[in-house]
Amino acid sequence: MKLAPLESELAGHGGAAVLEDKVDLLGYRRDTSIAPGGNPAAAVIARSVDDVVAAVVTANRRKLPLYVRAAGSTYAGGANPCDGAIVLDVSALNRILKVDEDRGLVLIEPSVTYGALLAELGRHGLTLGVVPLTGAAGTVGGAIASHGLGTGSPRYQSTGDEVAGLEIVLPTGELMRTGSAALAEAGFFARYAVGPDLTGMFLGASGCLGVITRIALWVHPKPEYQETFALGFPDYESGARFISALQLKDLTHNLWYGAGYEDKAIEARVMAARPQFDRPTLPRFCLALDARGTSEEVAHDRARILAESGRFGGAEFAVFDEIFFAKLRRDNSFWYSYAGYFGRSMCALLMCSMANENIPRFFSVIERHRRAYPQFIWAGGLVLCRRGVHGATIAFYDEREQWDEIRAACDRCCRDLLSIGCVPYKSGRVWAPMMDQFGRYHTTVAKLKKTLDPNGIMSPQILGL
Amino acid sequence: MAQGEIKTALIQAAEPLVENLYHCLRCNYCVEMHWEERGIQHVCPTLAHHNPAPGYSGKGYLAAARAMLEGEELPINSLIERFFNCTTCGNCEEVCPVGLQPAHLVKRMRSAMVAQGLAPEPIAAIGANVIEHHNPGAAPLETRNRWAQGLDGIAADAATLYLPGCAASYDAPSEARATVSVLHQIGVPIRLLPPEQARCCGAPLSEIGFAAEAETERHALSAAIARSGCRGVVTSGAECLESLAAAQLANGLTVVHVFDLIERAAAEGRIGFEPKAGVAVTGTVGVLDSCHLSKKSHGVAGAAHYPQRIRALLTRLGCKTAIPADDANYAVCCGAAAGMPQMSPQSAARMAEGKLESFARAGATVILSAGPLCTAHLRRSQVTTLPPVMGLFEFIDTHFRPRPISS
Repeated sequence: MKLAPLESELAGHGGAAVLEDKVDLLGYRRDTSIAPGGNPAAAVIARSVDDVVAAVVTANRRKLPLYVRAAGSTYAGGANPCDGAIVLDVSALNRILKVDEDRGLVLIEPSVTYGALLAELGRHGLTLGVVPLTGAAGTVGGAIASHGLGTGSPRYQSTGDEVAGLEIVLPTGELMRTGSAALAEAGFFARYAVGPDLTGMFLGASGCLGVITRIALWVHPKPEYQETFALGFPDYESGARFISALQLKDLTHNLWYGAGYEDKAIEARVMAARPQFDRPTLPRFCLALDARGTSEEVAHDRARILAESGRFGGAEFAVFDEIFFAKLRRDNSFWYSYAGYFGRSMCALLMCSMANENIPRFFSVIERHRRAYPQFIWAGGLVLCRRGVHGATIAFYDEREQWDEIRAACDRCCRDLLSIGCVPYKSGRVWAPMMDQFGRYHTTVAKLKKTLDPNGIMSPQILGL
Repeated sequence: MAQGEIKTALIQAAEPLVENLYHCLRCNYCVEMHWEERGIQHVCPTLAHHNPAPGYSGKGYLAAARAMLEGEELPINSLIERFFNCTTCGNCEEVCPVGLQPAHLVKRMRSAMVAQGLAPEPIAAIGANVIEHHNPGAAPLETRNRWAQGLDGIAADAATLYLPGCAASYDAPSEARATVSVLHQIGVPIRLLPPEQARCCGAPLSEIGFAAEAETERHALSAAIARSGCRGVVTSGAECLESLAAAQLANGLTVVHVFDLIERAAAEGRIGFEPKAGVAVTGTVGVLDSCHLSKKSHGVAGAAHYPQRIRALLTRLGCKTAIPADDANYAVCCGAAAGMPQMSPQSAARMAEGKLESFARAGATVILSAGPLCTAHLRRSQVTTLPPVMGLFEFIDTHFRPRPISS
């Protein structure tokens, strides 16, 4: 499909580039997920907020679906367009506008990568509360639009919790600022101000309700000291109860990362590195922790956490830290750590959140799929949050031969996870077919979208909208 | 040429890398990333300075090849434009978490395009130049050694053969002259191949898709080296080093960069460097990270950490060195190679300017290059407000008096 010239409609708005060549558009079809992609009719590379406004207005005028995209490195399909759509590529909106130490925040454009932002903040002795695991290429806007968590989650929970306010181009082309910045003279400093928290409406919305053009994020002192350690538990139940105790007693305060590993992963890693290890003594569940702060704070909390774990049958599991976790955290090399897997197969990721008591059932769902779909390599892992945990279901597959199979298996896995009370975290397209399970919540979001986006141009089908 | 035939040829070119096509995560590392701890600032020079469209990226090349393999119709002229505007620097391969090889794919696709008669005019011209004149710039073969006129230290029976490479011979002759001067001062006489026997190493051809012709040139040069009877071969050409390292030279000969020879002699205490009176080094030197000498995807030479080693030697000589924020292994290309200056001169000039700016930001007041191709390109693109570029040996010869140390 060839559109009538878009360029003329965008002319004079900051130098947006319009791409209509099929070779270029291939790069906009899919993100890192297993969600199918469409064939966009065009892409607009926006270089200014004016370009964003012009693209939104043009899409409205032409009644064309518009999908927002930056790095496209999330794994839920939120950036995957439908056929004939316009992709609004905002990756050039990548400036760090101000590190505002007086207000304790940084003001950025949406496509600043976490790598660039952490480097700049580091020069000020600062860091971000939450840094997702998508690595050095992931953008802040992408993480906010699709929910993101990872480093910092035991202390701060989710990326959205660290957002002080947003500037949004609404689906009709108007510009809005949320929180205290609703008053131009005030600017960003308070998220909860004036009235309802409209910031939250755009977090995790995958661009369905507007285009994020500026983000104010809280910043924090960069911890001076880091230490990792691992705890082993005899089963998932005791591990889950321990996590609840950890959270309730605020022992997560100096934990910047926590990861839960299932028995298969524990056994594979330990026996590969230490073949002489007494296999029957391996714990079935491991919680590996990355503590940061002053060395005194870390030592104090570590002792308390170890003591607390003993109440639940847990004990220090030093070998796991030595052979794997310490290096993973020290090198900060998540994707590279899995390169061996990726080199052999592609990876389907299903992201969900759950209350701690669901941890045993979460791993039982993975085990069930391991048996039902033995053609894939299944794995499950947890990320510790301030409350609850985040679950990642991972299935390695051969994209050339198993595309339809993996999608069917993941669809069933999503439904099974929902049935035990796990809720999608990054929803995008992957979980879109199940959105009717969210009842009045979903219909209310749909009504909200209809109000804000009367022509239904923004990211149709994403989130089941 | 029928479209079907072209498509078949391109698919065949991609097929050996089919695993690459199906293992791209679309993580975007090859497009843009920043990783302070690893010294990664940016990745792709073409996206930054030529065109930001995804079709010009590592993942874009993989996606295009996969689409063709799966039977999609893609506009051939768009493919040509995109595949011939890659510098093949290999930075996308350096950063890829999966170890995929987009730059290798580019070279294979170029070869298929060239074989189908689809080389863009500037690229075809380079190919014709090397085939006819044995150098990319079509300089007359008989002038190949003109840079050496009047120099001491050249002897027909010297044990060491010096291959300056096309770039040093024609475009950066001051580096070739300085190299011979330094070698002469430390007691290493060199011989040159007679112009009529000299050939291109083939690197400029293989980078632009003339694979068979590259092999012919390299074979002819290897044969000339063998006939010369030399006992050692040194080169100034970063690309020559990569190309000839892959060649099976007769008599067990291996080619080393001139820097290797100097570094080793200095490390073994066989040579020393005295500052020249009146030309003391002032300011801060930056060492260029030529891709062929710093990226693993360029083979043995690329994995040998030349920029770091050169910096170490210069530091020992008392020079203050500037280190750009991007690590040499992940440095963004200056745009000198793979036909970029001929294909898209303005983009290549912007790449050069970007490179010079990165060194200026690091505080360099002069930039030293061990790759004459980069030296010549950067000098052509030189913005007067940015640090000047010198060949590494030009710098050493200007500021130091190398001398042998008798045991």
